[in-house]
Amino acid sequence: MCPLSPRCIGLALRLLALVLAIYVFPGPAAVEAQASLSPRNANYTLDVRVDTDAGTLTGLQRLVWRNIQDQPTSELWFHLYWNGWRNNQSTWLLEDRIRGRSTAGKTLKAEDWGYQIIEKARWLDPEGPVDLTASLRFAAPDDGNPEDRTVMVLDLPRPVAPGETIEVELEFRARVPRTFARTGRVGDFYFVAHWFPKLGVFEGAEGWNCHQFHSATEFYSDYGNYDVRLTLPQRYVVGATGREVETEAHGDGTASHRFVQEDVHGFAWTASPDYLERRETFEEPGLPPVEIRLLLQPEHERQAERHLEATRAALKFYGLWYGPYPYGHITVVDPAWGSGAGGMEYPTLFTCGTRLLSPAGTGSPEGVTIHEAGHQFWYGMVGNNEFEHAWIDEGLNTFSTARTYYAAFDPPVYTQRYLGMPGARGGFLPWKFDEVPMNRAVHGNRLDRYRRDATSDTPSTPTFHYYPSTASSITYSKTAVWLHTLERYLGWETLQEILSTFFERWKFRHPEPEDFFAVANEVAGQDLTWFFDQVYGGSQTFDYGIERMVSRPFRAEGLFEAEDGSLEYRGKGDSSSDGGEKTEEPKEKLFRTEVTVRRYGDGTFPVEVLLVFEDGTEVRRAWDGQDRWTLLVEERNTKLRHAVVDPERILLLDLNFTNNSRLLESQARFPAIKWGSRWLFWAQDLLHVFSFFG
Amino acid sequence: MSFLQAFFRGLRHTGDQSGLVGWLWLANLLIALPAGVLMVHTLDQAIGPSLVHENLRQGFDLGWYGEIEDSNGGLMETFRPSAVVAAGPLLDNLEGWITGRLWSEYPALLGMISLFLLAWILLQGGVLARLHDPLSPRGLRGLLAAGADLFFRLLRLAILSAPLYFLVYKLGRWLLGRIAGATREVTRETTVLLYALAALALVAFLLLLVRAVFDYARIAVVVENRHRALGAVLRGLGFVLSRPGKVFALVALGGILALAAMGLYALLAPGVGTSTVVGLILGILIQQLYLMARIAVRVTILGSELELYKTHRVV
Repeated sequence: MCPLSPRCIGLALRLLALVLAIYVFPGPAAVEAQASLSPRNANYTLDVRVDTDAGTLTGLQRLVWRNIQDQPTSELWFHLYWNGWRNNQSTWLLEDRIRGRSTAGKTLKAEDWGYQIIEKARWLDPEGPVDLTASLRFAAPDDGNPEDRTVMVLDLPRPVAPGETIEVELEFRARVPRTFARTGRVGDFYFVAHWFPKLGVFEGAEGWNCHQFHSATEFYSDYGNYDVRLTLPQRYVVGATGREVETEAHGDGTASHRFVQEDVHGFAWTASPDYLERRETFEEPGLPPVEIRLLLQPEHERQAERHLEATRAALKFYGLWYGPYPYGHITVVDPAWGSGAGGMEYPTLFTCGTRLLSPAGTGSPEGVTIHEAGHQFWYGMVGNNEFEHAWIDEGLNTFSTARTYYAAFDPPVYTQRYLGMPGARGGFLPWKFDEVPMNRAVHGNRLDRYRRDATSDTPSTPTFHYYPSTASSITYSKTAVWLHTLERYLGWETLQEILSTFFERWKFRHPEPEDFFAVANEVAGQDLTWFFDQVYGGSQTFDYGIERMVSRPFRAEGLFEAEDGSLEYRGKGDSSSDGGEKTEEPKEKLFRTEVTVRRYGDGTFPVEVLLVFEDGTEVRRAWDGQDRWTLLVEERNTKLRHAVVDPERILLLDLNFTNNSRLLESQARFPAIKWGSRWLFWAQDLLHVFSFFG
Repeated sequence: MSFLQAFFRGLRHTGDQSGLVGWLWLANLLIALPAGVLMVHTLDQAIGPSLVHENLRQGFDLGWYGEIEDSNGGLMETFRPSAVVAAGPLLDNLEGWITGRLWSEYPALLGMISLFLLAWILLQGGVLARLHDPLSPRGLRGLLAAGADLFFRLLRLAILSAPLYFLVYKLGRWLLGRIAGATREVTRETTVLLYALAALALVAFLLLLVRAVFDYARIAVVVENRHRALGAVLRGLGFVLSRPGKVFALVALGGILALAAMGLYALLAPGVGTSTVVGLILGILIQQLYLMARIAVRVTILGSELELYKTHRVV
């Protein structure tokens, strides 16, 4: 090869640009001049070229890592997430099969699989670079799966002392998979997340916290600054974590986009030639302004304002309730049809997801947009370990999503989607049932999913050990339901203070469950351990109900002490021939009411029981809910109409609310006939449709 | 004879023989009723003495539905909001018809459906005989006698048509699968939707084609007193192929009328808030009138096809 060939010159120029990007352009060190929100101990500079024809990436990564623990370490552990889709023996895909998801019904082609390969690893030691490539090995700390390549370990020639900063350079290449776990490409649409060799979290004496990639869990990383240059064909519109600080067009039809972001724990990007772009600034008194950039699919142009409105709602309510969004910008990505990239959060960027036909009032795309925007707070800023305690971000965020949605919008209505593709979720054509509204407590918190899987796992189990197909019911739904229970038990003001205190104390840090419980106990001013032990430490279910109810006329009968101390008989026949003294009939009829309240579930919670009498009198009785049952007795001159245990439905965790109330006489007949006749009509129409074939 | 002339003759005959629609409606109701009574009983148990009855009087309580959804199997698996609210029942069943889901989704109703299909074949024979010869014996006895006479011949035709319907649905599923594969790199839902709608339109066309062929086969059995099913099918096929314009104009007219009835029902469908006995009865009346209208459309189209066949058949 001629050393002066155009190809060689081009290569040399690219190498020069790379060196400039890493050593000359202001990188993480320059950014550090700004006020630091986080420890900034894992800082990345990446220069990546995307070959959109081959669907591959080649990159150079420089990691500047500071050991912020009080222990030294002589290893570096990295996540290579895309190796979870290298073949079907990876832990991710084995678990996904149990989950009965994506790959089960997917026909995968050779080019659909993804991978990450480390070409070279160097420690840029001040005393001279040290090649670490030979020390590279894979680890499977969670299940020992020898085929799993999602965790890589580099052995260092000497330990990194506490407080010491090191620089490591990695050359890597990767193939972008067809979308798995919301990452990949379809057509010329790219959504690229957890795509570079990403350092685990060093936790001192406990070693590296660097789990394999699991199907039902997400991520955990330290905070830092990111400076990323992406080079790809010029026709692509590019969105990414952070702000775009520089765009450079090259003569070969490509362009480089440089994005910089401080105080985040990840970096994702997207590219498509089709994106429509909308920008606006979120402004709310008391909160810092945020520039919103919306990247929208052309066929969803009419839904642009709905995406923006939902993002504004999240920034407003989360900001006012928990704390302000500090980054000043956010990118909202509407992913392409078939990309499977919808509904996922990344620092300062998230994907929502909608359909071509999605009329207002169906809850989509507003719900998912609020949820993923809300993750900027729970996940983005409060950076819990999602491998082990995913409920912290997902549960708090599901609860907050519902609260925000119902504060900002009218309740969505039940919607059925008709005519879908085989195996696809939801049909193309929506039909809204306007008369059937949904509500925050049940549908916002996804109570039905929790009910279905209530005992499938104990939340205190590390999340990556949850049963894959029911993990989300525990992580998202159960947490949201118990938080809403707490809201009703303590009051919103107290719960809001708990959440905002927790947010303030733990933003840009890695809280553990105990940290949340400590804040809750402190702010509530009471020990809530009894509650957390059940909803977090156990898999108890809650169900209180009225088991038996009697309210009938009552008259004293039998032998009673008379005024002279003798025993006298009162009751039927007391004026008969035995000479007994006749007792006067009471002027008002006395009713003795007995209500048996039962705890059917194994969880306990203090409840109130409401007795409503026919004259409108209401009696409320408190019950600590500890025993299996309690008997409430009332003697009044009025008959009981109905009884309700937990009438305000504070205990949203109660899995059967139908049995919480009871009338003396069932009045189910009318609604049973009403809805039964509707069903009969459906069945008759079904038969008529079958007549087509006869 | 134009298709419109045939239609108006069919309409007049149906009007003259309105009792036929009544008997068909009654059969539909009587066969569905036991399951309906069972459903009322099941709902009665599911509501129990709870105060939830108030919510279910005033509307549909999705929270209560969520509680019973997973705990009940059998018949209750078919009880869902879209099956009992507004125009949902019609949409659910229409989707079931075009996708073939009807045949796989309701194992709990298999007995009811089988009984209905047999009853339909029996009564359809009587209807065709009466429309063919308005002087044939009237009343239920006459209807059943004529139906019984034709029953096994029409049953054989129904059995012959089954694999064809099966193939059409199989083709539909195959087509949608192919579309899913062919559009896996497509990033616009609009494109996929159009392909899917085209595939479903083809399925609907083929279903209607098969039914038209077998409608004329049934008519040939009645008009020409044919005993050989295969011969009747060939006769029906020949008739459809020889006059496709008129045949499909009638089919389309039937479809338009059915859709018009559905649209009207969607406007008048009883709301979820019916809380009085009068409202309940009115709702049931609207529903039954809708079903009668659909049956009347079916009988009218059958009568129109009969007129068309009698006018144009080659002896």
